[in-house]
This record gives sequence, structure tokens and C-alpha cells, in this order.
Amino acid sequence: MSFDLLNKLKMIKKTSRKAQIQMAETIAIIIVVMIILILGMIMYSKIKEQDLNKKKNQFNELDIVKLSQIVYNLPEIQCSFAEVADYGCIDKLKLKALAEIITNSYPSGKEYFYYKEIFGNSNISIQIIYPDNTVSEIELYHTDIKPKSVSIMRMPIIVLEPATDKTDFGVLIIKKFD
Amino acid sequence: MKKKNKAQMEIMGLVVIVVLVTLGFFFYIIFTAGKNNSSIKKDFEDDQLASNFVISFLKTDVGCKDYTIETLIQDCAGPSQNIECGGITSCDLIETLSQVYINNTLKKWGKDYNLTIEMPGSPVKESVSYERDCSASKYNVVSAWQPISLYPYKRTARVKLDICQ
Amino acid sequence: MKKAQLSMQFNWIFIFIVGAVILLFFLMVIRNQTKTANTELSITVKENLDTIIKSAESSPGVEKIIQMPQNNIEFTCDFDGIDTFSSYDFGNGVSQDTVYDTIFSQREVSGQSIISMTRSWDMPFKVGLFQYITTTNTQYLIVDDDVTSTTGLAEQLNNSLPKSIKKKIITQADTVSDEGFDRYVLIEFSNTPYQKTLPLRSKKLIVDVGGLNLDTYGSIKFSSESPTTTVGYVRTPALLGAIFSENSSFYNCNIKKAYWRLNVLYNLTKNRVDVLLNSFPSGTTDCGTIYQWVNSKLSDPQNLPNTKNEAQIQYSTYVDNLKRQNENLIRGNNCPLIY
Repeated sequence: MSFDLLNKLKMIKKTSRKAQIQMAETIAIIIVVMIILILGMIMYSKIKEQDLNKKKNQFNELDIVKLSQIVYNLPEIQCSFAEVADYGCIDKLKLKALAEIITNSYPSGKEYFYYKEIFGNSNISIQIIYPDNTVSEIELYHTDIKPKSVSIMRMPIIVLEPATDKTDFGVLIIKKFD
Repeated sequence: MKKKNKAQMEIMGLVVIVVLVTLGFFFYIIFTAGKNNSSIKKDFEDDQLASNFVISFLKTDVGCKDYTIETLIQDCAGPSQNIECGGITSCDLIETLSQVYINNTLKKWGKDYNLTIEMPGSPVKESVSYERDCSASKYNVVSAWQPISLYPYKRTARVKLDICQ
Repeated sequence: MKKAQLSMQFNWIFIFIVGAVILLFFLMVIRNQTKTANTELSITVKENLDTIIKSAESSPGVEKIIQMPQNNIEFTCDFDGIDTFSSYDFGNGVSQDTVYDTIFSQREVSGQSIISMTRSWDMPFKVGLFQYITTTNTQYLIVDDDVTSTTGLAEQLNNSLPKSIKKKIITQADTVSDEGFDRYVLIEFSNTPYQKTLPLRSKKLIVDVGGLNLDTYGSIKFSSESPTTTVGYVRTPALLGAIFSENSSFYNCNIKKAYWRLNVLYNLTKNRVDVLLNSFPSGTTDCGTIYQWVNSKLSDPQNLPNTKNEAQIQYSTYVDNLKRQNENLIRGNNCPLIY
């Protein structure tokens, strides 16, 4: 009788241990699956972040390309003969006149705000290189901000002096700030 | 016992696969992080630089009467050189001015370039070239060129600029 | 047994709750991802459209058909009496300000093909590019003003409109039926009124050309609006702006931007002529006499209200005079030009 009881107790203990092991197994599986899921989500978010940064850089580069196109084709400073615009040429007198208008309305005039909407956070200037190796620079527009980064675009251009009809080699320098 | 061993081996196999896949993802992320992605600005900048430089270079006044660099090239490529500015011939002036404009632009900006002015039939110089680290076999090359008519002579001069990336 | 049954039921309840929580979690993740993906798409489309619009600055007169993913773009232009505020919006909080761009379009543009055209507005020098945006879901109808010839105003207007839009010339006797377009725009000239009924979703413009041809000046009456509004135009690009605009206030808002730029350019030109006058003084050269006249007149247009009908005649006359003086500078005087 007592032997039977002992055997029964042993069976119960064995079954209980087996159940405990099984529970531990299940819990371990759940933990491992959760870890894998979490790792997967972290990796996915890192990849997404990479992708977004890549797009952000692309859009920043597109911005400076767009700005360069706008300035290059700006009717306010573009050379023209009668009504025909001359691409790749800047009229020095128009340039100086526009620079004066922008400077005079800085920082709270309507003209400055208008051109600020167009040019954004950037510095735009034209460097003129003369045959005697001297260089002069005319600043068209600037903003006073502390930039985190600068992207520079340089475009060779002709600078026309209308009074004398002389053309000088110039460089349109656009510095875009982030 | 054999069945137990087989099941255990299977589990180990699965664990190895999971570990390998995870490592693979990590390496992928590390690899893509180091990659230089965008070149929209660079491609556009070099493309317009080459073409705008050539056009502006040719239209530039040399500060002597109404002559432009294009006029000097036409004179230098002709059978006789008639243009002289301050005692300097057209061919010498082309060399001097090319150096001025290249030094203040392409060289100053750290670009690798090859500017060639071809003047076939010129008794002085048939070709003038300025180069900086621009061997075509090494780099991607963005080129722009402009022909110059040498009328009434049946020849054409050419100005070519290669920007090496 | 009872304990076992109870624990079994609790087990199942536990499973359902945990299952529901996990399902809910994944549904939220999917919803967020869909929203992010839509926003990303809108941003990409916006950047691409903005690049296309900006690059059009270098190519006037060009027609483009822009293929886009199915998207609704809302164009707005509001004038508060002092400043204009204009932008286009893709929804999802993605929008682009268009302070610089003069874009004439319907308020809402949807579909996969967007037609864009640019025209240079010259007064007489280039002031800027007008951009027109429409879709193939809009029908443009021009009432013929001279059925006997091919050089009438209707024909001139038809030739000015983009080739890729749905347009046709109709007579006063023709009936316009609903052919399934989203919008109908009818343009008639003051001497040939169109009396028949138009489909719903129609816009009717009555153009009164003041000069000898379309490319001069005139007035445009938005007769389908209540109350009817009349605006003025100078040169064909401005007329096209009224045709493509949603309504008169949209047109007025954009044309104000253009006139503001025009005033800046007149100022610039005046400063430029001042410097030229120093190099070629009046009385000593023929150039100087012309510069003197131009200089004295350049402030005039800035005092004109730029959307009133009467002002258009004066603007147009001024532009013609400036053009004539510039041509005088070319003819035999060898003077630097005004523009």
C-alpha cells in the first residue's frame, strides 16, 4: 500500500516537473520570438532612417540646383537685346541696381522679403575676373544665419557692361545654407 | 535517443539560420551606411561647368579694342597673325588669358580638367592644352566643346573642356 | 474537474485577449506605415513638380505633360489687401509656397496627366514666366467671332492655347452638351455672344479686346460668377491666365504678383537708365535725349492700379512707347539699349 502511494507521489512529481519544463520552454520561445521581432523592428527602422536621410540629401541637392536655375534665368539681371533674353549673361547695371534695392530694403522691407522667399537661406554673388588677373565681387543677396552646413554651386557666366558693351568673364557663386 | 538527437540537430540548424540572417542584415546596414548616395548636384554642376566655361571663355573681351578670345583664336589659327595687343601676339595672349581664367576658376576650385584649344593649320601652334590630373582612362569625364569657324579658310578651330570626376 | 474546466476557460480568455492585443498592435503599425508611405509619396511628388516648375523658367513657350501618381493638388492664391499668399497643397500636410511662381490653374487639379505650359510676359521686356496648369478633363470652347476668315480673334486664341488640351472652336448656333468632362470653359468675344445653356460645372468668359489684335489689351468678364467681375489684361499671356484660372479672384491674386515684379523691374530699368544717362548725357548725344524721356516716364506705371480695366489701356500705351524708344536707340544711333 505504502509502496503504491510512494509510486503515485513519484509520478506526480515527475509530471509536475515535466509541466514546469514545458512552461519554461514556452516562455523561452516567446522571449526569443519577442527578441527577434524587436531586433527586426530596430533593423527596419534603421533602414528606413537611412532611406529618409538619403532622400533628404537628394532634396537638399535638388534645392541648390533649382536655386541656381532661378538665379541664372532671373529676368531682373539677365542680359537682353530688345526683347530677346541672352542666356548665360548678366547685365552689370541691372545686377548693381537689384543688389541696391535688396540691400536698401534689408532687413524688413517688402522687396527683401520677396527675394528672401525666392533665394531662401543663401548668399548669392558674382565674381568678375578681368584679363589683367584682378578679381572683383558684387554681392546680390545674403542672409545672416549661422549655417550648420554650406553647399556651394559655381557657374561661369558672362558679365556685360552695357555702357561700353564689354563682356567680362564672371562666376555666379551660390552658397546655400542648411 | 536517435530521434531526440535528430530533433536537437534540427533546432540547432534553425538557430544557425536565424543568426546568419540577422548578421546578414547587420552587414547590409553597415554597407549601405557607408555608401555615397547622391550625386545630383555634382553631376549637374560639372555638366554646366564644362559648357558654361567654354561659352563664357570664348565670349570674354580681352581688354584690347573689341577683341574676344574667339577673335584671337581665329587670328592665331589663320595663315598670318594680324592682332597685336600691347606688343603681344594673339597666340601668346590666348595662352596668357587661358592661364588667368583657369587659375581663378577650375584650379582654384580643385577640379581636374583638360582644356584644349585646337587650331588646325596655324603656323604658330596647332594645339594648346592645359591639364590637371585628367587622364581619361581613370575618371568619368564630362565634356563640352565649341567649334569656331575659320571662314574663309576651310578649317574649324575647336575649344574642348573635359572635367574629370 | 470543475477546477480544470475553469482553468481551461481562463486559458482561452487569456489567448483571446493576448491575440487581440497583438492584432491591434500590428494593425496600428500597418496604419502608421500606410500614412508614412502616403506622406513620403506626396513629398516626392511635390519635389518633382517643384523641380519641373522651376526648370520651366529656362524654357518659355514649352508645353509639358506631367505624369503623376493619382493625386489631388490644390492651388491657392489669396490676397489680403497688402500681400499675396499662394501655394499648392498635396494633402497629408505637404504643401509648397509659390511666392515667386505665377501659376494660373483651377483650384483643384487631379488625375494622372497634368498639362503645363509657360509663356513669357513681356512689358515690353521680360517680366517673368506665366505658368498655366490644367488637365485633359477640362474642355475649352471658343466661340468663333469671324466664321468667314481664319485670322479672327477666336483663331488667334486657339493658336495661343496649348495643343495638348481639349479645345475647339464653336459657333453661336452650336449646342454644348455634357460629354463627361469635369469642367467646361467657354470663351466668347463681346461681338459674338453665346446665348445657349452650358453644362453644369462651366465657366464663362466674355473678352473685350481693346486693340487691333489679341496681343494688346482688353477686359475679361467672368460672367458665370455671382456677382460678375470684370478684370483687365495686357498682352496675351495675361488673357491666358484668366482662361486657366479658377475664378476672377485667383486671377487677380496672381496678376498682382506679376505687376509687383513689373514695378521692381521698372525701378531697375530706371536705375540703369540713370547710369547710362551719365555716360551719354542729354543734349550732347541722341542717346541722351531718349534716355532723358524714358527716365522721366518710368515712374508713371507704378502709380496705376493694376487690375482696373481703364489702367490696361494706359499700361499698353506705355509699353508700346517704351518699345518704340528702344527701337530708336537701335536705329542708327548705336546706343546701349534701355532693355
